[in-house]
Amino acid sequence: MVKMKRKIISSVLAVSIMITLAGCGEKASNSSSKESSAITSTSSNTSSIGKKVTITVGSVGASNAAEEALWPWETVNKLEELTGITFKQVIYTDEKFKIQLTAGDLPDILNVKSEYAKQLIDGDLIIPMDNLLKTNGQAIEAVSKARIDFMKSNFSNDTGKLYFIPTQTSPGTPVSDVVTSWNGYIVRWDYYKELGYPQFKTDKEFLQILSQMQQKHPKTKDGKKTYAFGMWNDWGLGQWSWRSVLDFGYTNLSANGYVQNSQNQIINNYTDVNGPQWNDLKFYNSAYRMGMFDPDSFTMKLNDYTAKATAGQYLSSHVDWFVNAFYTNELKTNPNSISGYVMLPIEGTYSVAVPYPNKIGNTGNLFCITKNSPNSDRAMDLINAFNDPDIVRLFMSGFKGIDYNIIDGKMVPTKTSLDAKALNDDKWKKRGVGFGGSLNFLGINVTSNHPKDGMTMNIFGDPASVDPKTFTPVQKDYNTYYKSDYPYQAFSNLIKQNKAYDSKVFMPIGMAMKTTPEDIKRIDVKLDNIITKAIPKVIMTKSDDAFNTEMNKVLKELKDAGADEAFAWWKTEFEASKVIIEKMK
Amino acid sequence: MQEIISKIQKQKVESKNKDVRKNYKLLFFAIPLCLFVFMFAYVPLFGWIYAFYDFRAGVPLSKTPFVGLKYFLLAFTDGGDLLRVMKNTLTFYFLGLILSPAPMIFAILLNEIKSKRFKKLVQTTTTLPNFISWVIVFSLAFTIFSYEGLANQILLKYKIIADATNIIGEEKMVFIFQTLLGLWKGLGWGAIIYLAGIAGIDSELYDAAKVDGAGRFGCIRHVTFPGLMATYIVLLLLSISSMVSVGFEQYFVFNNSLVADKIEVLDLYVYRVGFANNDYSYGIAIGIMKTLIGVGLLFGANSLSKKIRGVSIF
Repeated sequence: MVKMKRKIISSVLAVSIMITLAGCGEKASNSSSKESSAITSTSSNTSSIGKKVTITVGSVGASNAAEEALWPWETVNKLEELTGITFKQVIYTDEKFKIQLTAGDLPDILNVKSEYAKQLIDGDLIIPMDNLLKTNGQAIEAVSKARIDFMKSNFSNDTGKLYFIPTQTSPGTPVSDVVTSWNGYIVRWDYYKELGYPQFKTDKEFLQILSQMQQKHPKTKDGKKTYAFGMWNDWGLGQWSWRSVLDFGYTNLSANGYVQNSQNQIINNYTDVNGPQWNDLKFYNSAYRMGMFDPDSFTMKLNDYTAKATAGQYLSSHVDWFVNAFYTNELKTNPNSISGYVMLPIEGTYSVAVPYPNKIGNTGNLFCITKNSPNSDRAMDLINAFNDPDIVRLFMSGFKGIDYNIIDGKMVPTKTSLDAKALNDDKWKKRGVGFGGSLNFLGINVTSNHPKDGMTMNIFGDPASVDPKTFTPVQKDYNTYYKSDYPYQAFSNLIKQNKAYDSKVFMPIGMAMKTTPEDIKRIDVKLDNIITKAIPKVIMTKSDDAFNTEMNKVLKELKDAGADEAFAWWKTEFEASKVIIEKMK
Repeated sequence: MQEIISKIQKQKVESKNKDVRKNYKLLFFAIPLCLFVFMFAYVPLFGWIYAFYDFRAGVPLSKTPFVGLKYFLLAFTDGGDLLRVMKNTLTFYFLGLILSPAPMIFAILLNEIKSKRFKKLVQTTTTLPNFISWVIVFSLAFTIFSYEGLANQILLKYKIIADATNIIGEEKMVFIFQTLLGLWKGLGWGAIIYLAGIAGIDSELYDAAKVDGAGRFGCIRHVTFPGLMATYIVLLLLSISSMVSVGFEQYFVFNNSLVADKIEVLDLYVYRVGFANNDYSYGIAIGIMKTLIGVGLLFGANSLSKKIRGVSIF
């Protein structure tokens, strides 16, 4: 009798606790509950909620980092609600990751560059995912079978097993346009307008225009000197050729030394005087001689550069990431200000804004499951979730009903969400919607369209979904002048007329290349060292003759250090890889 | 006579054993430190084995090819980089050596300050930089010495210089600038041990010197200075062992392409080849050579000091 009584009381208590929790949950999950049904109803691939586990993903590279104080994002909480997996992130620098590798102290999942693939397999640190793919990886397979086959044949140390899943793969759906670009000929729009929108075709003419801007505005409002360009020295060698790499249609095969051009040929960036490295050095040398290149560029670190960029000391930049901070501050004091930075649509140039439309994906961020994971099936569930179009849309576009609505078969962002995004404060960041950090773990290229409804994954990057009223004053002014509906259209119109181009021209040849052998790597390191030290000397030369003399001296030094030998290996490997990629077409 | 001597010796041994038995508890206090040294100075020596293999992070040694002395030989044939780096390291060391009496002199001068408040103020402000990380020091240095920095603004305003300059990127100034930065950061901290040494000098010696007619400078010359010499020599001997390891952080944060040729010291080089270039085995091989040189120098300096001054650390 007593037992019976206890059972009844326990049951009543359990039911009341469940009701209470359900009630609390409804309140706590706020926006999520409505969305939950939307996602699960449209998703056929996201696995049903399994046992609750915590899966840690270790990523190499700061670009994968989310602010720790703001973690977990609301979107991550939603992911947990849908999958039962608590997703935790650990970010490693390369140095730290190598130590973790040596100690074998690895989390459940790794998100690594392809250069680590061979040693991870050799070290028996990761598991083959072939069986897990069948049982827990339906969404992964649905995105692209080609990438699975590619990984088995190229990233398996000839075992034919599946060890890695690439991110940012483009499924069969077409790649969409974007709203803005972050590279190109970027200038202060108000100054450019003041000069009467001067046209130019060459770097020399561009520098002349910047020079006129500098003469008109030699100092900022705070009395600080203005420059056309500045650089920082703690991001390695690569950035000293980025401007040409980004603006003239190259893609990096290594961190710096070897690039692929838009005709899908390999270029020796160290020794080819017409390559992006020497083109940029010539450009910065001209700017330096005209007094427009910040002389602190060789000593300052990114923090120092950002401080100057935020103060408005630069009239241009090869990327808009840091100079935009100036305009954000300007808008706070003058909401109608057009003192922002824009990319000018110049014929013959290239924009990197629309990523590779390839079916293999990004081998710079490969997922694998470590032997240390006690829940490899659930780890696979998490990777599978990152490849689910609904989850990708959740991370990029947010919650239906909160961040966007579907009106007349079209996704339309809500005003609340657009306002919050424009404000870009911690409250918005905490939501975890549309951040670059999320790009590196999503399995599908975010500019793709959803395979089921054909609508965009990323509403904030989709020109068709953006309300023109939400553009900043500088974007509105720019659109008016170029008669475009959104800023990038001015450039994409040039692409349509075959006067400019984007990443669609590239074949992803670098992805099939083998890991560089130690002797070649050692030569490359020497070459990097030589050119790193040469950069300031070359840029600070005071005449064309002095530039050429210094350049020839460096070229000889590079050749003596084995530049030809290293390039011979790269070229052979590049051509072999090209054959593999061509077959995949 | 023989019996008496052996009896005395026996008594001495017994008394020594008695002392040990009585004070053995004190030895326990040393255990944590011994463990610490063992853990962090001796256990990592196991890693030296990687210098003899073609090591790749994550791949076990059983699967790694043995290469013998390949990386040790590579250090001598690898294009003269090591020679340049050694030259830089030794230059920084000898500049540091020249300035090594500075903390002692500073401590003596500090000790001569009569006002206790001012003395404390000076000591605090000079000790504080020791606790500032090199990253912050770089930011401060950039704010002061960059082209638009405070120093250039002042010098240009008063027409002391015609063109702005950035000492952080000035190759000719690297050795002096970095040594002075190191001095600024470590002067107050380095003086603490000498201040303790001064406090330990018997005040009767000063009284005796004054009776013999010594003034303030005379007391310094004949009492304070000789009283601190033993400390200075011990520190000097210890520093000789680190002749080839002059530090890392300072040179790492101040490294840039303008001064890279001069600022790259051995530790920075080991980091570059080992970690940044993923060439662990080579990095470790250089590290081993560095340690062996350091140990050799320490023993050499110790025996030299023993012969010349009769003072040694072991």
